[in-house]
Amino acid sequence: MAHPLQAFFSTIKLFSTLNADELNEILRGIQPVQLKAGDRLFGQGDPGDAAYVIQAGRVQIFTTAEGREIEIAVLEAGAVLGELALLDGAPRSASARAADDCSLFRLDKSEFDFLRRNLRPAAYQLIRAMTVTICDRIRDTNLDVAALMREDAPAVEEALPPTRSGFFKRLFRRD
Amino acid sequence: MSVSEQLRKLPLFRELTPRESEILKQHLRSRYLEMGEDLFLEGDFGRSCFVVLSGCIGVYKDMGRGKQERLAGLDGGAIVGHMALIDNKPRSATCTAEEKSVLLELGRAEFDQLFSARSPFAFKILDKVAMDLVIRLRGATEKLTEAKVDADNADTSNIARTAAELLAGYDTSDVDLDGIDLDQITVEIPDMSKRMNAPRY
Repeated sequence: MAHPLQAFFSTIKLFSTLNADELNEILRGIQPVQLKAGDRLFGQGDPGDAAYVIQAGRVQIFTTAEGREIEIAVLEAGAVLGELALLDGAPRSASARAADDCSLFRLDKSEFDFLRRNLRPAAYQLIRAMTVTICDRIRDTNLDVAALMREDAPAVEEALPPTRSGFFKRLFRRD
Repeated sequence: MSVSEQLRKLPLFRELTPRESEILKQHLRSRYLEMGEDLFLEGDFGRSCFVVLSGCIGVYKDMGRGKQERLAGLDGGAIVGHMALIDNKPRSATCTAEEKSVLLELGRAEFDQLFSARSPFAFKILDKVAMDLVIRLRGATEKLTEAKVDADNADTSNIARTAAELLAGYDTSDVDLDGIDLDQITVEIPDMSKRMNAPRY
């Protein structure tokens, strides 16, 4: 019998290339997580031990640098977060907390590692889908950096010593 | 040492069994480049990816006005050109042999075939490729955070460095930043934005 969440998960890009059997294998390992608005999901530096899928509500991603919070993104229903941890288990590079009351699904790295170690097609398909979204995110992230620098161009140029302004004029020119 | 033994010495193929390495060998072609010969050009459609066996491949980016910036030198064991096969976007830099070089070439059709096979063999290589990409993404995310902090502090020298890193690091691995003089970088925004807003697949 099809898993009750199969319909929801197959609409998510990361899972959309998995066939029904593969998706079921992944879904067997997931657990629901409920958060109240403001609850912390994970903190920067925490061990990367799971990926999450948002079913309802919004999750804010932020980092803390030099004592200030910097918002990176607000993710909505259908978004996947923390999935890089499934691959490398590295500490969280940012913190996540519920912006509203949220329903999430959690996929533990240990569950995923079990499938990965056993060379299960489900893990393989998920990694394959991840390589495509990672390429996408590499380009997106670079784009964001460029956009951010362009936004601040006037302030940056003002603060620049005259010899350097040429570089930024060229870099930030809008036309 | 046989070719398949050689393959298993490369980090990318280290996990392969002798038999798997034999199969892979059949999909690979050797490419010999003379010094100065181009492997591929920036903007080209990506038809294959490569593993460097010996020699050195220089990675060059067009900075506009005919100026080329050398971003990296890739030597034995490095993989190059695989992102274009994964996301179907044009080559983001030109690769040229800086000395007599030997590479192994895996064509797009073989690459696709390999990765759609759902075999343990494909899985092992994919795992390595995925890890390579994660490292690149984490690097890019770090730069974004730095840029946001710098923007808040109006810290211009750091933004300059981040800008240089962005330009240098765009789509290339193993970028050597130490060789890049920040004042020497010139880039035309229309050119850069055209590249960055390239249509998504």
